[in-house]
Parts: sequence; structure tokens; C-alpha cells
Amino acid sequence: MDSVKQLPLISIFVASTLAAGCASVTKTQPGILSNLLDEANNSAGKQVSNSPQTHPVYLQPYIAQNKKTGLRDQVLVNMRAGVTALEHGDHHITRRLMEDAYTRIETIYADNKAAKAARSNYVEEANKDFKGEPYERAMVGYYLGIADMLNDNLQSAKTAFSWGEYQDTMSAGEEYQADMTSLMFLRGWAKHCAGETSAAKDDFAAANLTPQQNANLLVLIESGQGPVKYASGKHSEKLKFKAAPQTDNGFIKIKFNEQNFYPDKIEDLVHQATTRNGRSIDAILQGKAEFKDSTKNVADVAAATATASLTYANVSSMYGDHNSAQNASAIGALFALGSLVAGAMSENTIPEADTRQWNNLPRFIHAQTMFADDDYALSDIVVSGEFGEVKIKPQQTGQCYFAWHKVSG
Amino acid sequence: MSICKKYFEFSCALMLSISVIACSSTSVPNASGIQTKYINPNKESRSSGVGIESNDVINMADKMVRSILNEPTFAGLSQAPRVLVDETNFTLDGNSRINRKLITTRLRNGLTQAANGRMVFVARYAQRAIEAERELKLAGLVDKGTIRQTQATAGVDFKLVGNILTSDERHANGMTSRYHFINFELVDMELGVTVWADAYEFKKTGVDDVVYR
Repeated sequence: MDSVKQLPLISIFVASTLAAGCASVTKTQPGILSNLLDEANNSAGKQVSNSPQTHPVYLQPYIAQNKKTGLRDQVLVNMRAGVTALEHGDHHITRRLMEDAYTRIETIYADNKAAKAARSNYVEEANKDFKGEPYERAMVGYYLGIADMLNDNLQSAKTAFSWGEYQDTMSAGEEYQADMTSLMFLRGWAKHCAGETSAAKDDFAAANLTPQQNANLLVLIESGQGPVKYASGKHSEKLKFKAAPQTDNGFIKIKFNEQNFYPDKIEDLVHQATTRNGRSIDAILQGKAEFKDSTKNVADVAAATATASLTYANVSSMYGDHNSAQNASAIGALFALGSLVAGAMSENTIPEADTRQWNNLPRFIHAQTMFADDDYALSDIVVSGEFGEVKIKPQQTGQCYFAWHKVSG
Repeated sequence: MSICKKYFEFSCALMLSISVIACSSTSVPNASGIQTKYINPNKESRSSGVGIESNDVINMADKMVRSILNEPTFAGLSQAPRVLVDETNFTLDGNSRINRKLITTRLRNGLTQAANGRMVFVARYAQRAIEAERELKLAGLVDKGTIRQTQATAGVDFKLVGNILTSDERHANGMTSRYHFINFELVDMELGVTVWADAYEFKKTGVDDVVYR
């Protein structure tokens, strides 16, 4: 009987152990953003001293975040910091950060402990190293290609755009596979500027976008806020995407060499995010949600049975049937224990979908091609709209010129 | 009393089992770090991607060196032909990102060592430095050197052209694979015909964890 009396205590101990021990995420290794920034500066021949304190001020929040979240979120930090660096004109940094993200996304995670833990009932999906959803992976190819073009490396740019396009095909259930027209067009443009005219035409045809006659200048403008991830379902086990409240910046006008242009929208990332079907992990998360419900039901039924058994034990004891009372109380204690354990298992099951997201992506990409005489090809381009007016400068890329701008706000 | 003891023992065993099964905690990989060490670049690395690795670069360069030096066209020439091996016409046409100079420099280096005078290699990548030196000599600011003087720098007889082509496949069971076809050609820069061609090809495959599919 003494043993039976100890059961509730032991049950509480086990339940506490489950609660404390099982809900924790696996540890990760320290982040490497500072090292990547050093590498970027060294390879670009920048004369800066390599220490976190001397890295650009605008990247300090990412360095702090990287210290906190480590390698688990390295790709995510690279993505966000890479875009910010491009906005500040540091395309050599963007290139190194996106290159690292590319390598990590390319890595096949087989027998990876963090990924394995993310599949277990008691660890959230966000425990896995972040690689992003297909549209996010594709945009790594996009920014890597842009940084390559700005570094005048058109061959690598071709590969980056092509790889990005391939990332868009990763969902077997996607309704519109390989439909990122911006990447097809940009691959064609990189070929066009590298003098690979015939191959470029094929890509322009695939993208259904044809540059202007004799075009040698491309202006890319990004606007709006990218797709927003959210978790739906009873236990937030379903990953969904929606448009951000601020999705557009209105019209975009380009003025160059006394001529006005209204660039075409060549990409809508919300369309890209929302036109894919489920992921393979969704079935696992669904299973976790069902496990959470079923263990909760088991806990409830066991608790009710325990209550009934203890009531019966009390009644039996009152009538002097001590043998039945003892057995009933033992059974009641066992069901109470079962209820506690099942309850703890239910409580500690984490079916929530991973909603970590690349939060500084645009929604739209606009493109304008034009002819620029070498005499004025490097002159200012005025980009204007409801957001105001900004001047940007093209850079030479192979036989062409290229300018990029992200409309903020 | 015995039934209670059995319940107790059973319950303890059950709880222990549940604790062990349920708690799938993992430790940090290489928590104490790994000291720097040299590894053989000829060997397959433990990195897990479907792209080009160091052993591929070495193997393909070695194969091309052998193939070029065994080509009868070059053996039958009365004078050692001048060959340009650089990345300027070696293009990336697939999904594998690699520094093209890694391949062309390894190839030029291997050829220079093995050709033994049967071919000479034009250093067009050093053209600017060569021109600067020639101007200094011409201006009399430095002497004429000890070997010879030429009217101009070397023209090219044969030039390397090529490309890295890939084809990616994704299977319903999550398997991804990438086929590489790395094409090498030497083009006669006077007549405009290909005099030698060979290729290095391989295919790699792997399956990502289901949480990434």
C-alpha cells in the first residue's frame, strides 16, 4: 500500500520531467554572420578591420540576432541581411550572404539530428535549420544573381537565376510549377549581356517577356511587402500564406534621358507563395495534432475512470469490503497516473507549423528595359511614385547596364 | 498487497519507458569544436550536396590533361602549338555554381607540367602586366632581358571553350539528383573548327529529410 501511495508523487515527477525535458528544442551551433561579412570585405578588397564592431551599423541588429539564434537561422539571417546590404549598395556583402544561403539550401539534410527532432511529437518544426519555403529559396537565387550581375559576373548570375527557378519546382503538388517569370527573364538578360544571344531569346520566350529593341539597360524595381506566413488549424499545424496589409506602393515611374517609362510587373511573390499545395511535413504536423488530441482524450477518459474507481473504493470501504476497496483504489491510482502521463504527453506535443519568414521580401518586381548610349548609360535614373522620388545609378554588367532599387515603406 | 506491488512495478517501468521514448533530446554536434586538419582533396567529401566537389575538379582536370596530350592532332605538328586555356569561353549553363577558374587553372597547370614542350600556353590572363613590361623595355627604362625580343605577344592557335551543363531531377519519393556534363573543346582559332573534344560527366543523388520537402 505504501508503494501505491507513492504513485501520485512519482506521476507528478514523470509528468514534470516530460514537461521540462521534452519541450525543449535541440541546441544549435554559433552563427557565422560576422565571419561571412569579413570574407565579403576581404574578397572585395575592402580596407576594413574585421571585427563585429566595425561591420556596418545597419547590419548590427542581424549580427545580434545571429548570436542569439545561431546556425539554426543562419539562412534566414543571411536572407534578411543580404537584402538590407543590397539596399545600402553593399552588393559584395549580399553576394557572400546569398552564396552561403545557397550552399546551405543545397545541402541535403540526411540523418540530421535537428531535422529528426523536428519530426518528433515533442519538438516544434521550427527546431530544424531554416531553409525556407520554395518562393524564399527561389528568391535566394534572385538576389544572388542580382549581386553577381552587380559584381559583373554574368556566368554565375545565369546559374543563380537558373537555380532559383529550380527551387520553385520543389513542391510536387504545386499548381504552376516553374512559373517564376522574373527568374527566366533575368537568366535571359544575363545571357543577353554575356553575348549569348540565341540562348537568351529562348529564355525571353519562356518568360513571355521581350526586351525592347536594342535594349542594353535593365532597371529592376521592387515594391510592396512580401507574403506573410501564418499558422492555422486547431493546433496551428497548417502553414498558410497571405498578402501583407501593405502590398503595393502604387504606380512606379522611371525617368531616364528625358524619357518616361512605366515598368512592367514581372513577379508577384504572393502569387508564388499561395499557389502551391501542401508540404510533406504537413502530414507529420497533422499526425502530431491528432496525437495531441488523442492523448488528451486518453487523459480525460483515464481521469474519469480514476475518479469512478476511487468513488467505488470509498463506497466499498464504507460497507466494510476492504479487499474490493484496496483493489479499486489501486486501479484508480493507476488510471490517475495514466491520466497524468497522457495529459503531459498531450500538453508537450507541439504540432505548430514553422512560420519563420523572410520578412523584407518585396511583393512585386517591376522591370524596364531600354537602350542607353554609352555616353549617358551611367547617368542617374529617377524612380518616382506615391512613395516620392529617388535617383539610382546603373552599373556596367558585361555588354549591358543594370540598376536595381527597392521601394521602401 | 502483492497486487499493489505489481501495479507499482509495472507503473514505474511504464513511466520510465515513456520518459525514454518521449524525450528525444539531442546534443550540439561537435560541441567542443574540431581542430583544423588537412584532408585529401582527391577523396569524396562528407559535404552533402549534389554539386561539383574538389575530387570532381581534380578528376576532370586530370582526365582532360591525358586526353589532350594523347590527341594525335597535336603530336603531329612541327612546332609546339600555342594554346589558351582560361575561363573566358568556359560557361556555366546549369544549376551548379562553381568558380570556373578553379577548373581552367587546374587544367592549365596540369597541361603545363605534363606537356613537356609539346604545347606552350599563352598567358593572356597576364596580358596587362606583359604589355606594361614591354612598354618599359621599349622606352629603355629597363633592359631588354636575356632571352629574346618579339614583335608582339603570342597569338593563339587553339583555345579552350566549354561549358558546365546540368539536368536536375526530383522524384516523388523526395529523391533529388543532378547530372553534370562538363564539356571541353579546343578550337582552332584560325580556321574556326574544333580539333579536340572530351567531357567529364557524373550524377549525384540524395534525399533530403522530409521536413524540408
